[in-house]
Amino acid sequence: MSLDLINLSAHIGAEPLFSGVSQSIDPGHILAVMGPSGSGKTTLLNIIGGFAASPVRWTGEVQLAGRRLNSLPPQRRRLGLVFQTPLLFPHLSVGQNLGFGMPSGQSAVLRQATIEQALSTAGLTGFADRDPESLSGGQRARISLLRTLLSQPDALLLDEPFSALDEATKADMRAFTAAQIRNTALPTILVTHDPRDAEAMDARRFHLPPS
Amino acid sequence: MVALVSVPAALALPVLVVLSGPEALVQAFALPGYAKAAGIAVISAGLGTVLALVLAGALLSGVAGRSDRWLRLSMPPLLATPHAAMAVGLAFLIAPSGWLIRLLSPWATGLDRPPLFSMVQDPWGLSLAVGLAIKELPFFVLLALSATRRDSLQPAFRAAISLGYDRHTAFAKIIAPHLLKALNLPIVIAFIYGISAVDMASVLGPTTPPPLSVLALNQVSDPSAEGWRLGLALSLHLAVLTFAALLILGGLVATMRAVAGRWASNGNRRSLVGTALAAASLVGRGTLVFAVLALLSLLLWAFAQRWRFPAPWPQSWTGLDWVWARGLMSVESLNTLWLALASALIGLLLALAFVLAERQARTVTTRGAMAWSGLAVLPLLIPQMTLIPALLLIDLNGLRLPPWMLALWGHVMFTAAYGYLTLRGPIMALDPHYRQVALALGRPRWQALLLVELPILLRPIMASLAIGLSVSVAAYLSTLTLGQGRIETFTIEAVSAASGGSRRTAAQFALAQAFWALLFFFSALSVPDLLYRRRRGLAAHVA
Amino acid sequence: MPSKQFSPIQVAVLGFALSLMSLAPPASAQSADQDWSQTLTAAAGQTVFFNAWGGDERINAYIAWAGDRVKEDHGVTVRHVKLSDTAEAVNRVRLEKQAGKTSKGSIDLLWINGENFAAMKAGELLFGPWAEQVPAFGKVDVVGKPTTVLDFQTPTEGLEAPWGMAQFNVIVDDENAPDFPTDLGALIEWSAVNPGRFTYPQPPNFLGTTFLKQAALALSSHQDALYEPVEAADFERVTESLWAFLDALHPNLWQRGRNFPASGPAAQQLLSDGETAATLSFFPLEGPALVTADTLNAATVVKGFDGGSIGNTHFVAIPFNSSASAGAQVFANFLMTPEAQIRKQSLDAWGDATVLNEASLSDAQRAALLDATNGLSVSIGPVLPEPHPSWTDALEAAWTQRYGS
Repeated sequence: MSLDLINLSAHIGAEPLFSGVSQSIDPGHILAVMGPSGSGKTTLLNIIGGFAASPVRWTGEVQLAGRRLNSLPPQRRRLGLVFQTPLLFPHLSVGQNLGFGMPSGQSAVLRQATIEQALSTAGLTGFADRDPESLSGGQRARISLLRTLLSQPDALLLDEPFSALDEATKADMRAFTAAQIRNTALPTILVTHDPRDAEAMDARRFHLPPS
Repeated sequence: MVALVSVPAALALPVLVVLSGPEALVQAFALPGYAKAAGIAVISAGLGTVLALVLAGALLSGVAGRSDRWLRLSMPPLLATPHAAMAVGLAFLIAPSGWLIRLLSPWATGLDRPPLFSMVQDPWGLSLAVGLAIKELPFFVLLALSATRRDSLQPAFRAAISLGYDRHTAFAKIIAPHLLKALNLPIVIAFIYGISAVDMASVLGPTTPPPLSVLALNQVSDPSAEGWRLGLALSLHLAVLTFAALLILGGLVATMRAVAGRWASNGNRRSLVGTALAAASLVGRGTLVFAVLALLSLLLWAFAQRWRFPAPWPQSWTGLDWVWARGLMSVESLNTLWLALASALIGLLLALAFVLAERQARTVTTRGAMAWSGLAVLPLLIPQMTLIPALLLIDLNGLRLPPWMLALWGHVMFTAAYGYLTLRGPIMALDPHYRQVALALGRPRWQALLLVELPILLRPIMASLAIGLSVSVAAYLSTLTLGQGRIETFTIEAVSAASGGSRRTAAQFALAQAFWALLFFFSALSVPDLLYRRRRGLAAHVA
Repeated sequence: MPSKQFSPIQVAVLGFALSLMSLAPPASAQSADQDWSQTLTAAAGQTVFFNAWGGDERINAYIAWAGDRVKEDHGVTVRHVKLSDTAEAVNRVRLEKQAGKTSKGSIDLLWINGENFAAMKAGELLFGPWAEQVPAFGKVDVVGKPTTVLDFQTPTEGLEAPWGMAQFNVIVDDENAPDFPTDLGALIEWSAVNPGRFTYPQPPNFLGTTFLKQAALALSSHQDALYEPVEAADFERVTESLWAFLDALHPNLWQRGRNFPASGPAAQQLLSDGETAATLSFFPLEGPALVTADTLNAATVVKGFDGGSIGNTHFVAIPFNSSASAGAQVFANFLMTPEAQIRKQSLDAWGDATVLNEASLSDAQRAALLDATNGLSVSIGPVLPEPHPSWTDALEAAWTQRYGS
């Protein structure tokens, strides 16, 4: 179950952004996409996630486990996205945020148990009823990642997930994230401008060449 | 469904051109006092809008970076007070026999009969401009407060202060340009309201000649068919004059913005503009006190039986009977209630549809987005006096809806437009990532909207609902003309009482009206507080 | 005096119809009672939307009372649509006619007179004739009060039913202006001594226009011309003295004659506030009624004008497309009954003078009528008839040209 980028090229208007990007990411492996601002890192992520919109135009193919994603809407791509800000929904409690990500159809008891278990892996046991606003930055980042994982994606896309954290939390969060990726065996793309992210998480580096 | 709002608005002008005919359109120029009436209309509406804008800016400048709670809480009562009632209150306050002089007489002024000079109804409509400014002020302040709440502005303001700028200059250079941009549409709408509304103009405006809107209304009230056609022609002239004045206004604002850009970067830490803003901030607070006094005098009048010059307080009081007669279960009350609830809810749905359509269109072209924007506010861009008879004509010539449905339709045109104006900012400013996260978590579009975006926006949505409710409560022409006289509301009663000149009755109905508007306002605003009292993160999304 | 009046046209049509083997028997005079009972039957259960100016709480309360009474007696529901301007309703009926809405109109009964009636009659916007066939019309004083069938010189022809009598007068604050003149010519001198203490509603408001007519009648040496169509007269010569009078008067009016109150009630408010010392009225009992309501100073007197004051009648009419013309007739009929008329004249209710012939009333009713006004007379001197209606527009236009622009 790998994530494959095949010959991706993108333009903003008439301006070319990048071209000929071909990468394959195996389950449990991380591709670190690096490059200066404006090199198209976020655009690449948007193309994979299905959020690329005018004025971006692109060609090529995105495949997940051999499934072609190009024409699927974002909600059917089974990709888990994590952004720089944790984007916890402010109107829901921590537990409700996690529940939002989970597939429906399980019993309430089972859902509750899954949420509790997820919280305990993050060292946040008993946080289910808390207001997200009352959490520290590191705690929020963990909940955000857990919410994504509980949605049972087939791949992970991380967009500068650590850049807003302080140094100590950063190290902590890198380790937590890397462990989760190993455990779930998800192919992962990590967009970052910090080489230490790639280093700490043992990721294959790919520099986006400004074309 | 959104066509419900835009189509009649788009048809209004051609329908009236046909109805009044080319002859009347030409004859209208020759009416005595035409040119001066047009001049008064432009001056009073233009000055009123500019004054309201400057005072709103000054008030905001005074609270920038500080607590704005008092400002936020004092606006709804002013917003909820109908124009007509505010005009009656203001006129009573400053008339030669008004409250201010009564409070000072005879001990300070030596007067035992009212003086002969007068501050109301001056020949150029200046007192009308002040009245309009007072009513437009809360509208601007509330919208500006939500616009300045945007994350990037406050740090930028603090940065300017730390660079040594005095607070008013920093406000003028950093926040004001953003405000001017954010308030673009509201400015246009306030101006159109000011130039076309008759309720305030007929109380505070001059009479020889009156502003063009009142002249047109008087003429429309002519029972002869020719006189009536001339009235329709005048209301068309008013529409054209409005567009012309708006073009000039737009040019002025564009020039100002260009000059302001150069001025902002000249490096001066202190400026005349800053000093002027500081002074205007005081004037703004004085204006608020003035408006509150006017409301207070209305409250007194509602209960006053006998209150003659120069008595500073009412000499005898009414019973409380009228409070019950005009209470909860009266026909007027129930009509006010259902019309407001139904039109505000439908208007809210339409407003959401407009904003979401605009957001969608924006990902493709800006022109498409602007088209949606234009369609949504079209009913506000045409003077009511032109729009409402046209809607009645459209109905009579085809649809023949029952009066309640037609009145509801008329109300919805306005609640949707105001709802759009209040929702557009917060929805456009919402971080698009929330939606992306929800979609990436596998939820369909409608769930991303319904379960994530709209709940996060609950506060602005309820604020918009509250404004819709108060717009409906205060609607006069659309209720009377489109309801064909069959739907009695407090506003109908208040305006007909005002036509009878009775301050007491007008004040009583204005209070009843304001009661509903305020009740709606505060209950709509307290829903999110109740639902989300443990969710501090939503405070950043306040309207 | 005939108890029922029919226009010659009606009689002719009636005769013609009868000669054709009576295709429409309900219209015959003999079956009037049967006719009326059919109207009553049709009216039961109907809702009448009565469009009437709603600016006076006391009048509103009176209308509400009358509505309750016909509900009780005949099962007719009356809803008072409170207008701020009657012309709004006239124009709505016109719009409905233009759009071909010939039934189920939005207005069932309308409070009206003068210009509005003339416009509706000319535009064929009225239902009827009906007013002279309803039973209560029998006691209307059409001889002693000719304006009950001649509305501003326009014959009513049964298209509207008389409701109340009006006579032009001035309400004076006797404490502050004991010497307010009843001779209009002397008003110039009085205003010079008391600047700012008098004004009149701005024409084309009907009170303001009536002030112009009253002054024209009092001052012009060409009175007769005012009763002929304006086209036939030398307008400048007839009105010369009027403009000279106003030119001299205006600088000493309230706000130096630069602004005028918009309506009678607005002018009344000025009197109540003490800004002015006198105001114009069309109801001789309005002044006393306002004193009773504690709105005006107790030392308030009502004066007529030297040489007589203009008088007229106000009416109710049914639009051509009324949804409840039977109910409207039943309500209009009730408004003309002695019961309703006596109460209307009462100072506690409205203080509006009756249209009935007092001689046709019972002794008890006459006593009640006198009692209603605390013995005050509803007459304030001789009645001057309204000038020819064509003068209304001409005077208003000339006034606006001179002073209103």
